[in-house]
Amino acid sequence: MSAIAGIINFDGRPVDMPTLERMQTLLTPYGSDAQRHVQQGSAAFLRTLFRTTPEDSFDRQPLVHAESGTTLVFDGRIDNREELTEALGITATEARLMADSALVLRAFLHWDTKAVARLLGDFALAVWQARRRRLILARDALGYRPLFWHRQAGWLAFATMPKALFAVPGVPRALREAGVHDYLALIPITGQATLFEEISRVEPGQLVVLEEGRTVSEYHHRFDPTKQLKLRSPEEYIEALREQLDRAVACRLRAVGPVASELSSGMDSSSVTATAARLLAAENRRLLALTAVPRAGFAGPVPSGRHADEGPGARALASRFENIDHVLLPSTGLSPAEGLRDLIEDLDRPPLNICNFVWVRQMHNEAVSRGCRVMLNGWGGNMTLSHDGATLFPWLLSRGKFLAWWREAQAMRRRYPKSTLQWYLKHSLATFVPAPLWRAYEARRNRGWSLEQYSAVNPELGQRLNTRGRARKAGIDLLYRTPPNGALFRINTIYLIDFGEYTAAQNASGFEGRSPLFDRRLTELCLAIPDTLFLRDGQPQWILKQMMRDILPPEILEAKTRGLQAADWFEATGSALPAIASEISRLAEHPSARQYLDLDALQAAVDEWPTSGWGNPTIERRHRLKLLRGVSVGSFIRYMEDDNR
Amino acid sequence: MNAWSRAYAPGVERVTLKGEVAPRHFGNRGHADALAAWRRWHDPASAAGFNRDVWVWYALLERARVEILASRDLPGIAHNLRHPLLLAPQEPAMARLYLAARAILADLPNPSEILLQPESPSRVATFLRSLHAQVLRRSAAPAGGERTATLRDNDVRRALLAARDSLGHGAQFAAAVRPLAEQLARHYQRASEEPAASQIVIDTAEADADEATPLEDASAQIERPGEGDADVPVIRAFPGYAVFSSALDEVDSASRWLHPDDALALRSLSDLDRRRVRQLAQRLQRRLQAAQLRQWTFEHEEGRLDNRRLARLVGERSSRRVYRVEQASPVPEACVTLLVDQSGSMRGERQRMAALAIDLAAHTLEVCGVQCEILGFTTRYSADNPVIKSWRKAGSPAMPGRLNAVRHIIFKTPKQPWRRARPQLGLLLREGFGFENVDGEALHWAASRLVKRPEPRKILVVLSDGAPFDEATAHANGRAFLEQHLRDVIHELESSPIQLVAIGTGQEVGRYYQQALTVRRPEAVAEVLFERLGELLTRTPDERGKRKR
Repeated sequence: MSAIAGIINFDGRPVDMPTLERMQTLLTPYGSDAQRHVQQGSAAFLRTLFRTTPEDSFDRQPLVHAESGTTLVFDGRIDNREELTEALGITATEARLMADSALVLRAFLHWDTKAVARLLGDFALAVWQARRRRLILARDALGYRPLFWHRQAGWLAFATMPKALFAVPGVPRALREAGVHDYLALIPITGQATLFEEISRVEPGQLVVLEEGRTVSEYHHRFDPTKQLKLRSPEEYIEALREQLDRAVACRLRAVGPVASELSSGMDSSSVTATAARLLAAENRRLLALTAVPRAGFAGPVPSGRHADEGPGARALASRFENIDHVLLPSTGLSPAEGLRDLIEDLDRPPLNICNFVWVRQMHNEAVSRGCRVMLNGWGGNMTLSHDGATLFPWLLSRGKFLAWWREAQAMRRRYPKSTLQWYLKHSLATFVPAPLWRAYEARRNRGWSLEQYSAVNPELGQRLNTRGRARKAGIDLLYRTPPNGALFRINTIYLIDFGEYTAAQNASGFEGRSPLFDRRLTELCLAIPDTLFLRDGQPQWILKQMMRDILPPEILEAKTRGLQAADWFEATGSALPAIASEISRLAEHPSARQYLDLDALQAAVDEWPTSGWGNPTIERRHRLKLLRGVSVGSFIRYMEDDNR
Repeated sequence: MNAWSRAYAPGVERVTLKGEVAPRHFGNRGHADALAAWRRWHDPASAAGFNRDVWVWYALLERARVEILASRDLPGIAHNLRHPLLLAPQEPAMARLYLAARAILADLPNPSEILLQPESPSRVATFLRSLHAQVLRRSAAPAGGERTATLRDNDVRRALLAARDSLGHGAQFAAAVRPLAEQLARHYQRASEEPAASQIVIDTAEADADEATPLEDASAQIERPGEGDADVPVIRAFPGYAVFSSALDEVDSASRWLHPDDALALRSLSDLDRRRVRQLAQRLQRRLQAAQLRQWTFEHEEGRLDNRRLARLVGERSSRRVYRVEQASPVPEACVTLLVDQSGSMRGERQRMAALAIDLAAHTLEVCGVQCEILGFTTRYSADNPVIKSWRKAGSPAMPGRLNAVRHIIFKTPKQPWRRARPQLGLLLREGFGFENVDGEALHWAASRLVKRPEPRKILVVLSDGAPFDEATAHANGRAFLEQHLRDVIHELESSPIQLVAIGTGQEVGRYYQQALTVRRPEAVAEVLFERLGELLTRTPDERGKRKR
């Protein structure tokens, strides 16, 4: 993958090259293998490359096509190379020597902006057509690679990461108050807005065209919630799913050097790892599977329905494949606050779950130290492959299919004997009850989610910006009720997740994370499969479990509890309390941190650190979600508005 | 520039302009070509009859003329002179006029404001100053003295447009701009009698005591190396920057602040695991010593042809010394300045690792015969800041500029042996000594010292952890104020012969410096520092030039 950036002076002034070189310096950690920039009249572009595919060795970006006056910078991986080369009349011999970027340039020269919709894979790109003085910015359908831009009268700058834009004189480096508020309240940022003032993002699946002073944004791809796949039998659905999963994993195995995989005992990473191992075995290649586990002797507690040690399930899976080198990585007890600043610098945003990063970092470091440049993961599986079908209950009620609802609820009760019919009814009806009524009902029973339990947002700020109103506008239900339209719900969630900065930050850590479950074709298929196949006979993830029946071990297929990442988080956090407390004190002296954060509540969470009860969701929300996210956002505020404290 | 002159033009007299008319302090290609243009197109006879006060204004307009003439036919010179802002004099009024003249005479869009008007001070200050000025005028001006008409921007524009027709004729141009030069001299003489509030507080009052004497030969003045090297106040070098008060600023040797306790802190440096750093230092030493084995010497009458000097064969005073010879090299002639941020955020491990790296770097460089200066910077005040009190007392005028007193510390001068200077390093380790960081001024100060050094290679390494910040200044001027100034200083330095490198403990430095290196672990400071020093000190001038471009 690459990091890209550029400056275009629409008024014809030459670009200040030292500025571009500073941008290049800032993006070099994201592409440490090669850096190059070109100036084309009043525009200049740069690319820093992190080589992950064999074809990357042919990459000579920025690419300039002198005849047409077209310049391209491309960050990504194209998964339908054969399809494109055939359509473009490129011979197989020629294609073998073409980097993905060269193929994309040919596609642009042939199809112009329509080329973007034809590209499959993870990418972000910029094309400058000097003769038309037109700039095109685009990201893939799922927004796997990031792209930001800033525009002022007469010029525009774009970059993979906001930090490169801040190197351009005249670009303000300021937090967007509403953005930080939303982040703290877990309201995803919508539209082109970002956490920063006057910095825009290209949305997933979006094409931004700037020409003659006008900016036109359109979507080159949107997922369709009404699209339904009609096949004759569940077996046909399973076959279709298997085919797409194989294809999604296969095109992510195009890599230089060995490939690694994050393997928890969950269905997503297990399915990906098993598929990858099978496909690699056919080529006589090996797979490094990494599993993070708690320290030896850790016995919990963990919240109900979860288990702490994912080692046994992962080990059982690895033992089924001869070409898997499985490594268990016990927790080192590293504090979540350790290295937080570096992480923020790489991400240009606050990490959401800093506990998880401690575990994940261990796996990444191990993969990198073993020479792996590509690491597969199961990101996005909840929205695609491993959708649990819970939306089926309210959907059946909304369609008046009471008998089907009754059968499914009874089947669930047989599988989960502790659950009650009342529980299923409540969760099926919740979405149809007005939010204030439901909130009151839950509050009366001392249940449900309230913002102050899990969010460190300053209540005054929340009141001023109207948190609930903003959530409603963004299409987020802060009561987290299950909606009836499964496809629409998942599509909305996909668009609200923006992995962009996370995937770029992985390049800075020396590897590229690839998510087969966030593949456009696989996603389209999963969204078109009826919910009745995701929840069937009381079995959540029915279709996936059927598909993987003979591949995954019973420890994974029949698990009644889900694995909990960083289950020993409270031990490491407890030992880091003095560091966390001193960070809160620094935030208290900071001129603007208090404006965003409820610092008193954070301090209280430190002062009242419990010695037990870690399985209690209320304690977890207060001390893990609220405190650690608050500290993460606070550190980000200090990163953005640094002082000498 | 000195290095360039010594290397490529020894024995040739250095012709330069009078200080106040000349381009800014740091030498670059533009500067050299401005001087060349002056030498080629300016006719000293045209300046006959101008008195000292008027001549400087004429010379400024003449500079604009000759540079435009040079740019017309010589694309290389045109390229080097393409940024008038970099060639403008330091004096804000002169800088404005120069920029306007370059634009108007070249028929380009010109700035809306040309003349500098006195700022509006507070009411009390205005009253006191007007009272003072009245007394001065009464005592100085003859009774019934005539009042001259006020000069306006449009008057300047009109005069320059009229003079544009005489661009090719030095004498005609001088005659055309003479009335304007006289008006400018009168305009700014009056303005200087009514100084602005900020000038009263901040200016170091470098009043030119020269009497108004005819300067027929002013342009032919020769400035010898070493002359005119006085530090340039930062507010003059950067007209957009301001300092509310420099009265409390400190620049001194670290020995001034050194306590006996600091020696203990320094001793603790020896407790650190120095093996890795020592290994790196030894590697640097070997690398430098290897580089010392061979070098090129120039100006020979036989040897290998030096194509960069071929032009001498056809010049006015042709010379056959156009050969170069490879021979064993003495130590690389270089001076390295290590400038360390001592603000509060550098406390702890960062400070200790920076001190350790500096300790061994200074020792290694000394062994290799490379001159080394070690400087530190921070501010004097944190919460109880008297500069803010003065500002409030003055009515809290808007955009007051820097609102803290800077503290610039000299740990080691290039001439001091490290064994003598080393004890002062203890001050770098003292907790709570530093508060904020005004990087732009510190960089300017360090560069001003470095540029005076005779060594041809000048390397400035900044060890910092982030963006410039002073709470009071940021509060009154906005966060961008110090950042913009830092960018301006860096821009200036990066087009000068100084090699500027920043080593940061965060990615922040990359936003400002073209050559920035980020270290994630404090212990990596030494690794990066030694690696970079090795590169900078062993790279040939050609390589350095390429790198800069």
